[in-house]
Amino acid sequence: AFVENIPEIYILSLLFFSPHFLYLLISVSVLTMDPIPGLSKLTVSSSKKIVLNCSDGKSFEIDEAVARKSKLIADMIESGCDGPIPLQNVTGKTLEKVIEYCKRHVVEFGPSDEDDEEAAEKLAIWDAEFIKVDEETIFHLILAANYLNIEGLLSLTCKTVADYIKDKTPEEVRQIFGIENDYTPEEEEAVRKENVWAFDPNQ
Amino acid sequence: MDEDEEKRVRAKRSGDRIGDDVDRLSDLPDNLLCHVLLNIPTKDVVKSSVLSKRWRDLWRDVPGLDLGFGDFPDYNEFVSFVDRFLGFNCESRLQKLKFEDRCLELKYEWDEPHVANVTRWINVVLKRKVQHVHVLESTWDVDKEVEIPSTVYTCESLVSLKLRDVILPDPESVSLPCVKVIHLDEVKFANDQALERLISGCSVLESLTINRNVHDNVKVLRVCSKSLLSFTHVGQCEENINDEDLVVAVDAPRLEYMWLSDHETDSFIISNLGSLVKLHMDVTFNLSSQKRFDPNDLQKRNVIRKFLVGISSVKDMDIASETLEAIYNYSRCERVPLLRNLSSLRAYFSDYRWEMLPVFLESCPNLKSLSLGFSKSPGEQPSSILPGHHCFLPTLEYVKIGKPMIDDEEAETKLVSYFLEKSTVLKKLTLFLNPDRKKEAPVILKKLLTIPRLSTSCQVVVSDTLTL
Repeated sequence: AFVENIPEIYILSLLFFSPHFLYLLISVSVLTMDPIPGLSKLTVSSSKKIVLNCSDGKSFEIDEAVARKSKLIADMIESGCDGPIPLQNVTGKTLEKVIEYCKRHVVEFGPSDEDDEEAAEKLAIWDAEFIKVDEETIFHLILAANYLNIEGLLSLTCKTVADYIKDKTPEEVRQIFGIENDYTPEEEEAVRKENVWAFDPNQ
Repeated sequence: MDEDEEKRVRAKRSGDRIGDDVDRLSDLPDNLLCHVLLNIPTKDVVKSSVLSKRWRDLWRDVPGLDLGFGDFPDYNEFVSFVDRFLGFNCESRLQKLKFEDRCLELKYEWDEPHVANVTRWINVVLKRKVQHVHVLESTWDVDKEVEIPSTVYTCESLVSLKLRDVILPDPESVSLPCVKVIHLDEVKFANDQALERLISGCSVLESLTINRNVHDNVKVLRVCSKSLLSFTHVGQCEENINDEDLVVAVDAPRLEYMWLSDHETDSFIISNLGSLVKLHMDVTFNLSSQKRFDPNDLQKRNVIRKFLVGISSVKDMDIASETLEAIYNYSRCERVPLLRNLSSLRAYFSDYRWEMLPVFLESCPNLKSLSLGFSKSPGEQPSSILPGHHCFLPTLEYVKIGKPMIDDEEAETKLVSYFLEKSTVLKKLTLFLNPDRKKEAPVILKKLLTIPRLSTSCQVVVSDTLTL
C-alpha cells in the first residue's frame, strides 16, 4: 500500500532533480503492475455504474460489482450491454430489496480485522434480519431472484418459505398460505392412500 | 384467461379468511416450488400432495430424497418407496440423496438386502449427477455395515459427502473435481492410503471433518490438500490398544481453521500451515496419568517441538489443560518454541493448576487477550505443579476469568495477583462470578483492588454475567 500512496508529483520532482530517480520511477511502475493478484482490485476502484430500469418506471444506479451478483445482468454485461438494463419482471419496491441484498453480499477483497468465521456469522445474522418481511415480499423476492439468477438470494428465500412447511400438517400449511382445498373427500382419501406411510400419525 | 378466472374465484371463496386472499405459494411455477420443497424432509414433501389438486404430483418432481429410517412402518415399505421414487423421471438430474438414522434405537431389523439396496441406490443417483450424498447410519452390528460403492470415488458432480458408520472401500482411482465438503463420522476405511487418496483426489476440497473410530483401520492419517480451509479431527474415544503409534499428518497451505480433539494419537506432524488463523487444541500426544511424559524420550520431545513450530502462524487459539500439561512437562526439558502470531488465547482447565500457564504465556510474545475457565473435576488429585519464577507479560491487555476457582479462593487470588503484578500494559481484568456468589462481589472486588498493579491504567472488574 505504500507504493500507491506516493503522489505522482513527488516522483516527478525527484525525477527532475536527479537522473538516479528515473531508476526509482521505473521500479515504482513495475511494482504497481499487479504483482499480487487482487491488489489491482484495491487500487483500481470499480466505479463503473450500471443503470437498472424496473417495470413500474423506477430507475436504480448501482456499482457494477453489485449488479454482477445477478447472473442475468452479468451475462448481459459480458455480451456488451452498455446502456440501462430493462427489467420488465421486477417492480421498484422488490428491486430495492434485491439491491440491498446484493450490496451486502459483494465479496470485499483486502485484509479485514475479523476472520472468515466471524464474518460468515455476521452475514448469517444479517440475512436472518433481512428476510423478516411480509409474505407478499418474500414471494416477490423468490420470483425476482429466480428471474435475475441470484443464487444466494433464491436459496435464502426458498429456505425461509420451506421452514413454514416443514413439520406441519397439511391443514396447518393450508391455513398459513391460504391454500384452497379443491379435492373432494373421496379424491383426498385416494391421494392419501398412495403414500400411507407419510400420513400415519404414529410415525 | 382461465388462470385469472380461477384466481378470482379462489379469492372470492376465501373471503372469510384473515389476511391476504392470494395463495401465492401455489402460484409459483413448478420449478420454484420444487426448489422450496428440496429444503424439507421427503415425508413432508409427500404430505404436500393433499394440499390441493395443483400439488398432487409435484412431490414426484422434487429432485432429491431426504428420508429417515424411522419414517416408514417397516423396511419393505422403505425399499419400495425409494425404488418407486427413483423410477420417476429416471433420466433427470437428482440433486441430493440423504438417508439418516434419526432414531436412537433401530426400528427394524434388516440384514443382507440393506447393504445391497443402499449400494444400488447410490449407484443410481451417482449416474443422475447427484450433488449431495449423505448416508448417516447408526448400526451397532459390525457385520451389517453398509459399504459405499467405489463408484462414489469418480463422481464428477458430487459436491458434499457426509457419511456415518459405513465402510469406504479401497479406491482404484479418485477423481472428485467438485467435492467441497467431506464429513466422515466413525467410517471404516480399507487402509491408510484409501483415506489419503480420497482427500488428495478432491482438488477443491474446503472442509474436512473426521470423527475417528478405534476400528477404522487407519494408523497414519495423512491430510494433504492444496485447497483445504477447515479441518476438524476428533479422535477415537477408546484407548489405543495397538502397539503401533497413531499419527496424524497435515499438509495444507491454505488451511485457516483447525480443530484437534484427540487423546490417543501419538504424534501430529504439521507442515505448510502458513495460513492458520484459528486452532482448537485438545491433544495430549498420547500422554496421560498412566503414560507419563518421560524427559528421556527424545522422540516425544521432537514431536512436541515440531508440532509447536508447525502451528506457529496461529492467531487465535483454544487450548485444553491436558495440552497445557503436556507442554508444561516439555518445557522442563526444552525451551518452548515461540508462537509469535498468537494474539488471542482461551484456556480451559479441568482442575485448578493455573501454574502451568505462565511458561506457555511466556512463549507467546504478542499475546493481547486471554480468557480462562476453571472447572473442578472430582476424582484423583493430579500431580501438583512446582511454583516457579514468572516473567513479565509485556503485551497482555485483556484478561477474563470466566469460570473461577470456586473452591479455592487462595489460588484465585494468587492467579489474579500474577496478572496484575506481571502485566505492564494490562487494560482490564474481569473476574466473572457464579450466580450464587453474586452477593460476595463487592467484598471480592475490594480485596482484588488492594493487590498492587503494575499497569496503572488497569481496570479490575467483578461481574456476574458469564460470557467467556
